[in-house]
Amino acid sequence: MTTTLPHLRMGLYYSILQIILSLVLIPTSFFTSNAYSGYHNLALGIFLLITGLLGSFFSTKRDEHKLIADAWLIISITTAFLSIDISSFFASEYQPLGLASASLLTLVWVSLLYVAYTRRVSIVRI
Amino acid sequence: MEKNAKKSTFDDYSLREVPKEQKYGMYNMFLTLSGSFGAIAVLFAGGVLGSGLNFGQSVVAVISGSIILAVIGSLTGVIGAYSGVSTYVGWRHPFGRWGGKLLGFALITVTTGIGWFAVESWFFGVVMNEIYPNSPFFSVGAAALWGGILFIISTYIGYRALSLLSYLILPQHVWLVAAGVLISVSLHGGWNKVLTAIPVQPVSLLSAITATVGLYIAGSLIAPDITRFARRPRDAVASWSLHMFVFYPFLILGAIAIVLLSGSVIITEDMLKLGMGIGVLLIILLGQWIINTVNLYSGSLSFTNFTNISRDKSSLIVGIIGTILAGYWGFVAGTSLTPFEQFITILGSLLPAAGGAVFAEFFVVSPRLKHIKDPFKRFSFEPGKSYPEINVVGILSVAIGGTFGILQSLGILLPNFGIAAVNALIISFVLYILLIYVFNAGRIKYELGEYRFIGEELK
Repeated sequence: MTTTLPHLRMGLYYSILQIILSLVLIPTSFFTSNAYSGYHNLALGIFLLITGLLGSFFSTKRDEHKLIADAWLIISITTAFLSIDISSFFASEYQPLGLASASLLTLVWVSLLYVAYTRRVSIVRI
Repeated sequence: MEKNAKKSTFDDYSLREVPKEQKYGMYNMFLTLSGSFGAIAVLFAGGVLGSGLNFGQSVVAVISGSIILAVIGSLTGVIGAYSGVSTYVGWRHPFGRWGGKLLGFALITVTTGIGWFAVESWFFGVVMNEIYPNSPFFSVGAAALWGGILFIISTYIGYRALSLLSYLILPQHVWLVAAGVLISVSLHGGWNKVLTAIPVQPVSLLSAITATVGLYIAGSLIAPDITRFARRPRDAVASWSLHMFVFYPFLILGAIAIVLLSGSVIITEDMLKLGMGIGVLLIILLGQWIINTVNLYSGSLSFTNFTNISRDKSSLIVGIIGTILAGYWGFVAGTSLTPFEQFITILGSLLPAAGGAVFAEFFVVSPRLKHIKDPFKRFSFEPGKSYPEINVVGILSVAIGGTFGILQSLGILLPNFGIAAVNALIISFVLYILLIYVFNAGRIKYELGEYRFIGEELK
């Protein structure tokens, strides 16, 4: 009998949410008036799309460690994005959307790590 | 038994082999090695190289340096993965028990654990004070003290804290540096300008390769402190090589590109000018946090090897000494760090020679003369077996190789003959094998004293 562990199921929900947000973010790159901001959003959008697809794949494979690795990557990259996207250099009409998506994703993946930790899955052993 | 189990919580198997179930995979190895030894130090080194070379020469210097360091780091890394013991416990084989204890204490506890930890903590205070000049909490002395305490806490936890910091820091650094390079290049006139930029203070290619190797050779030689946690020896080699050929060139060449365009060697200052405010703060805060955690981690492992105190307590003792030193420099205005830095740099110059003797013992003497073919057993300690207190050959090789390296790096001996650190390593490697042959042929005893390993933890 196979049962899905709660954090794997959460991983699937989060990955789907991530894919949706990345699909919203990517098109904004082509409409922004600031080319630098456009490239920055495009890079984040593609990164989120790829890791979202990987995350949803791992969440169906009972591979907790790969999902945890994914979570760390997303938190790390999105916090980097948040820390520099607020500078005036990247100012564009779509900046609030990028910042909101990155903040939301950081928070949801932090909660996944917390759930995994409370389920006695080592969040550093990957 | 229970006492030993308790000790392992934060002790990180400092005086015994890491058990198989406590080892980590390649992904962890790559992130921890790259996060620990890379990060901010590479950025600053790239800044210095960028002021002396054009971009084409920099690529040659960085690739040459990466090849040398990949070979050295892979060899030491694989020793750590096979043996499962820290660098300094492994040193008990080529230098004897007391030889390993004393060398570990002199070359790592004093230099890295106390010396560089104090210098980096003080520097952390300086950078914090530059960013927030008007707050007493961010004065050089105060920031050096709270920074030191922060670094001690993570080191107290040990390898798990290092891993955790690496997961968060490494991808973030890559993103921030990539963004910094692209912004800088776009604002200063594009890649053509990078390729045609002329360095401010030109240096020779050999000096640049020496600098590239010198920056990292200490990290390469103490890699077993991390790679002893590798699940398979090939994970240690692959992750170190990946680190040297992908991550290291990316960071250092990125920093060189920024410096060539902006003309300022302090890379974080350039990024601040580009409006990367919080990003730069993150790079400095997290980058220095991890690099000083590694400094203190290695310092605490070598101090534990010397004194037998558990590693977590060692990190407190060594860390508090370093933090007090950093706070003293911070609060006492006008203190010059140069004499102290010179002292720990010269002492640290002996490290490559120690590496040469370790390579000779593990890869030549142990399999060929002692007939220990299984690499997992070459640096292991078997209960009931006796080991030497002092290995005269090991000590002699380090003394001669190290003296040559120091004299060459000071320009007194053959100043233009290759890279001093690599020469010291090769001389010590060759001498170790030669001397063992000579001592054996003359039936001269080179292993003095004897101690019996009774199992569990080494003393």
